[in-house]
Amino acid sequence: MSEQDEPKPNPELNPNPNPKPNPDPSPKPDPKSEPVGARPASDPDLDPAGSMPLAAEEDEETLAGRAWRRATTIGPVMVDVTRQVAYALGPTSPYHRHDFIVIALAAVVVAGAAFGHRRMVAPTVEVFETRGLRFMRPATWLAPEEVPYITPRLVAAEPPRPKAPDAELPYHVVYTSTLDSDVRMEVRIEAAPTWPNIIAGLELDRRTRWGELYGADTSRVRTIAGHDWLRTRFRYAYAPVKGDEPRIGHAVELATVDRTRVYAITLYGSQRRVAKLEETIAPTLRVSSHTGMPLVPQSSRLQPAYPESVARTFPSTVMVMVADLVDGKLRAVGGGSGVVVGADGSILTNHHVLDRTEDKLHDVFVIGRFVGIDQPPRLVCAGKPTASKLQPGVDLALVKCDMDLDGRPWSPSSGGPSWPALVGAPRTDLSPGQRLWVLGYPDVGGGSLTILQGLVEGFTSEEGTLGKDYIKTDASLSHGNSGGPVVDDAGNLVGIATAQRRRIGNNGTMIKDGLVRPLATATSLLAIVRAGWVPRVGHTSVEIEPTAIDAEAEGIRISTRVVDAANDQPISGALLMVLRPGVSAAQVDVNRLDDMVIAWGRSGTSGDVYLKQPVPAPGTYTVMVVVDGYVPLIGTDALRLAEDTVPFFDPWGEVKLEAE
Amino acid sequence: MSAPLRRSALPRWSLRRARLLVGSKLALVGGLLAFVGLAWIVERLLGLDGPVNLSPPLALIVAGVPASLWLAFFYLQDRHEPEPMHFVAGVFLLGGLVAAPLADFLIYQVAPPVQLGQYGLTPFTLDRVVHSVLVIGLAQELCKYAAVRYTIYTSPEFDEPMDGVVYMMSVGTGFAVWINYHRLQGLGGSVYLSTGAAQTVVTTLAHASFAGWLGYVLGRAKFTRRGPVSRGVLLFLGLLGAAALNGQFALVEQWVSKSGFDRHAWRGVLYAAAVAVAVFAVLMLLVQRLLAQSPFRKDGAP
Repeated sequence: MSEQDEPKPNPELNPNPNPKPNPDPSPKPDPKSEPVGARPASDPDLDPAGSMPLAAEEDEETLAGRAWRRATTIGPVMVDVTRQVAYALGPTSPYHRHDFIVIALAAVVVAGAAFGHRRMVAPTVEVFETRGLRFMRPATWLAPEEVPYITPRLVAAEPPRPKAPDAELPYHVVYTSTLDSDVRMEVRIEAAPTWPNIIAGLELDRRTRWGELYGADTSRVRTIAGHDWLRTRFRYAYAPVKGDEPRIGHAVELATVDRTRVYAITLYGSQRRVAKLEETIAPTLRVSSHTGMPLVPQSSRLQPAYPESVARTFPSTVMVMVADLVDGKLRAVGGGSGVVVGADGSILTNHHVLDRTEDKLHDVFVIGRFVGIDQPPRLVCAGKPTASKLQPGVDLALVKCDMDLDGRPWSPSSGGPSWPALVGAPRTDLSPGQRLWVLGYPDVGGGSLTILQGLVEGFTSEEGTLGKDYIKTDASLSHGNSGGPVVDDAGNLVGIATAQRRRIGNNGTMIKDGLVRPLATATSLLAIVRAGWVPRVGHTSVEIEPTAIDAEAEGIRISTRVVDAANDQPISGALLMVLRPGVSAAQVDVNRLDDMVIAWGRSGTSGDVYLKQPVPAPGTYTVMVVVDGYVPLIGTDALRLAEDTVPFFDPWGEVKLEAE
Repeated sequence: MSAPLRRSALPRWSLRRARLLVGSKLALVGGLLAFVGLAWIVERLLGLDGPVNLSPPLALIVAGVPASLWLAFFYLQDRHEPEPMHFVAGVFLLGGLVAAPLADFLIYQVAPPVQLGQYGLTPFTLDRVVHSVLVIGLAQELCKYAAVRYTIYTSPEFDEPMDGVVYMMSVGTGFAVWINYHRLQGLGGSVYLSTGAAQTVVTTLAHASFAGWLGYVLGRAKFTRRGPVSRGVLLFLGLLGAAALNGQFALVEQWVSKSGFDRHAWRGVLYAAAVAVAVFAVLMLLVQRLLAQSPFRKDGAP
């Protein structure tokens, strides 16, 4: 090789900077030791003749032999690669340390710059302070706007009168982010609600505002600077601009209440943005009052151990929330409990739960169903107290939902969880000392089901004298227990928790008696449940008063006798009704008898009943017989009249009713 | 029977080979221009006034074709001792499938999208410069660098400074495929065909050139006689330089293509092309120097 052919390395450059011996002792061809363009003598490209014997050998090689040769070749290759990498990364590598430092330094610069960038672009925060509420908020907001009037979904309402300019409350504004118009913050400050169950009240606000696609994700109480704040994460559907395709939005509401006001800050946006916003705002929330009201759910209270049979009655226990229109807005103003007494969704509760004043009922009731022992009830449906069956004399009422929380017609049988009825024969064998369980949703701040344990202490009258109007118990009833079921150890419904009476004991101490309305006082209402009914405004009476629809004057005069099935004794006051053709037992609605009954009559003391109107013949009719204290009798197609039926006719001889 | 003439049987350097080389390069550059021209013609023939939706395979083709042409072009720069094709191709894949996703991951981790932030309104506010150069630019160049440093760098094939340029340009080209594919698929896959194709061509050249600059430094650092500290400083400055080129590329391209509420995509393309060609030209001057100093150089070679 001539001098001209030799490579001429740059004196500054060192083509072989690694003076260390090759860690692999096996001799390897060194590409740098070869002249440029030259190939090893073994290169088959330059030595085609040399490849022939190799090809011949391969032809003769067995499959196993080839596999073994390849396996033995892979090993050294892998070892060689591993050595190369280990050497380059290892401590003996002359490039390792400075190279590592370069990469580490660059990574630090990237991370530091990212941190610095975040600081540079982080928006400044400023103080929000008004009406006793104070917190830090990002400065990147447009000026606040008054939240427009939101029409209640459950009841028709006139918009409220415009707020006086100097009126401090209510304050309800929305801020829109200048960085993302989907990110908003609402601040609402109002007079404290009269009903202390804030959790359920706020849930009603949200549910009736956002409609059927509203979904509460989590709700928990967070203490910030000594105040309990209820943090609720929820989803809702919205259209950014009217006519747009609806989207699912995320929001977090932080709410607290003191003696005079309720404060709610709601953050809207994507989950990430809401979370970041909450990080800024939540820790700085302050209210000027130091008399916050408890928001701790009842589940945190110690629950007594209860039998499994009592646990089975939980799904039958409901919360009955009542709400009224206040300044054009629907507000939860009170509540109690109730018990499901019919698979059709009929609920027995106290009359005073629905009663607003002496002569006026609340505008609407909302039913909350049991979800879990440590969770507030889920609001599922609503109805109007004016369409309920009321028995103010015994402080009982029968309610049934007829609309969903968007105000649309709804039926308990139209889907969703079933309504397990908790009703049986009234117990007459209760005696002092027997254990009772009171289930319900007391008001105090929270919302989950509570179970109280008590003993039967005796019986009392309305006036506190001897009588059987109430069962007395030592269970400590409180507001919100009203209307809730009282069951025995076997889970049988004994009565309805109704009132509490205080008296001075022999030693001068105050004694609280829980008063339970026995189930026997609800027979009229339970009879309506069994007969079937649909809520109808104005039909609040428990008395069944049919008005026969116009029928043909010609027909058969029907008469019969109504007796007790147990002893054949005549039953007086039994109402026997013949329903128009085509109405089956399943369609009977005691509120719509005036649309269904074509002939009716009431039995006298002898049990004899003569229908007032003739029944057209021929025809097939459903017949219904109801009377207090007896199981209603409804017979589909129980009356069949032919062309030749005699004009005066007793089709059955006797109608036998079974006592409840 | 005489064996057929093989390329390896030709003299290493000859006038014929030099002509072939120059002809190949011209053909490749012509191919790149034809690629953009074809996109423009298709746009005119089909009367596409607005953006089109590119399906993922089509987006991959639009991103991949210029990258392949550029890769071949860069490969031909290494005249004296061409690197094994499969090594170059492997590094190219490393750039697209490892370095670029890694860079995206790294950037997302250290600088997730700002939630409540407020970016500067002009491209040259400090926050945007820091973000563009020191976060995105540096992270991307660092990942390209690491992809070469911990693979081919340790191989005996990396045996001259010029190899740094070749391998880093390969990794940069692969990196650009990832970037371009995601840009074409971004905004619901809606893109103007001609400007999209042109941007793909210049973005590929730009990423490859920035990486090539770093490769030049990498090659010099490996083969310099200076000590580890000098090598480290050299490498770090190289990284910062590449990051600065990378960062300004995005910032200025965005700035020149906007005019009030109007957006002029071709202005951005022209700027990007100018920058990419300028950086590439400087890089080629440096490459000529490296080639002249190559230990494998034969006198008389072009």
